[in-house]
Amino acid sequence: MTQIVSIHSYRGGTGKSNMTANLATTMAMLGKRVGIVDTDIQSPGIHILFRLDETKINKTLNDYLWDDDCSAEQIAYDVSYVLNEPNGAASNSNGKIFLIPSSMKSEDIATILSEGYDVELLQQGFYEVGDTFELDYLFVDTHPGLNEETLLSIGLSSALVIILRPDQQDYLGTAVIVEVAKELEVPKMLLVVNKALPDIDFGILKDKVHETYQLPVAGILPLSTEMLRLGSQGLFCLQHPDHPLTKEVQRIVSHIQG
Amino acid sequence: MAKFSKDESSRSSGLSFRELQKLPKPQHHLVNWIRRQNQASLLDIAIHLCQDEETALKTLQPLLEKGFLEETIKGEERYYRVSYPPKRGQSLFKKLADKKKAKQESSEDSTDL
Repeated sequence: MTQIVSIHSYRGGTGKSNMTANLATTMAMLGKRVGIVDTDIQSPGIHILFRLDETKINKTLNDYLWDDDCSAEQIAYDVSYVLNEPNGAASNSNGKIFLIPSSMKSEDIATILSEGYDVELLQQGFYEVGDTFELDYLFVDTHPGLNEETLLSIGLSSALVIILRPDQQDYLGTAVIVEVAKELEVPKMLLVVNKALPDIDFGILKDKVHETYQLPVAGILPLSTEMLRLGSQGLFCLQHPDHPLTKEVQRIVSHIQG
Repeated sequence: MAKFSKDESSRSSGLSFRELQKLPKPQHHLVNWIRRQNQASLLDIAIHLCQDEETALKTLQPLLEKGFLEETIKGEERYYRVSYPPKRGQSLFKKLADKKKAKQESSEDSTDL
């Protein structure tokens, strides 16, 4: 059965989509078949990291949620080509990545927000994609904060990765997410601190976060100029395979698998 | 795989997060477990609850009556899944979409002339 892993944060700008893309790619490099669903319908964009040409995107998650005749197979795009690029050469050749994008057309976004949709279809889509592509893991990039589809994704997950920055608003918001995830009895919850200033003591920060939420801290990622420079024009773990940030992503993947 | 079709007559308001929070602990736990299975047969549920199927069905009954679970019968097997409230549209975006549609229609009318 496909393991559903949701990546979530209380606030925007935590690096959630970048983290989702890098976790999924790192997992695929270990020879796993992974899917990524962009459920951030209001502000999608994870496909940009995979350089998926928008003119080649025909159907999206939006079509699946509106159109009874649209199947999961029609909305998934094989982006495993990223694994064959120069820095992906060391990856296990069995790995596959299938991406389910959301539409970036303003009218599609406005329509789905105005008309709403049947949340159950989203759940059905997750399982249909998992079965169709025989996925080991399905990574769900969620919309920040709390809404019905986020609660659904969290509730279906066998693992939830909550991303926060070392910031007071994030700390308080994360407490809300953790409380909700506990109500939904998610079997595995992991915390990841992103964009930590490199000059702070990561050990102390890790202990503080662990003590606050009583949950495992799977990784602390430094604010990285290389990541900023990349500017979502590719996957960091492939472009910088030996960077400490990439090593931290690999550790988070080990936590997800463990 | 065909999309799961629902018997509209058994369609309910579904289980919201608020309602989940109000459920007694055993029901709360059961609903969360069924959700993570996507759907579960009566036998799966009975095994999970360490009950016989008849007792498990009695446990499910209040959740079915409240519309928090829906039942489908395939062959001789009964399956259960969590029922969710439909996501409502947001009025601001509805206004935006209606405005855009009206604009499109008026431009089509003027092209026809």
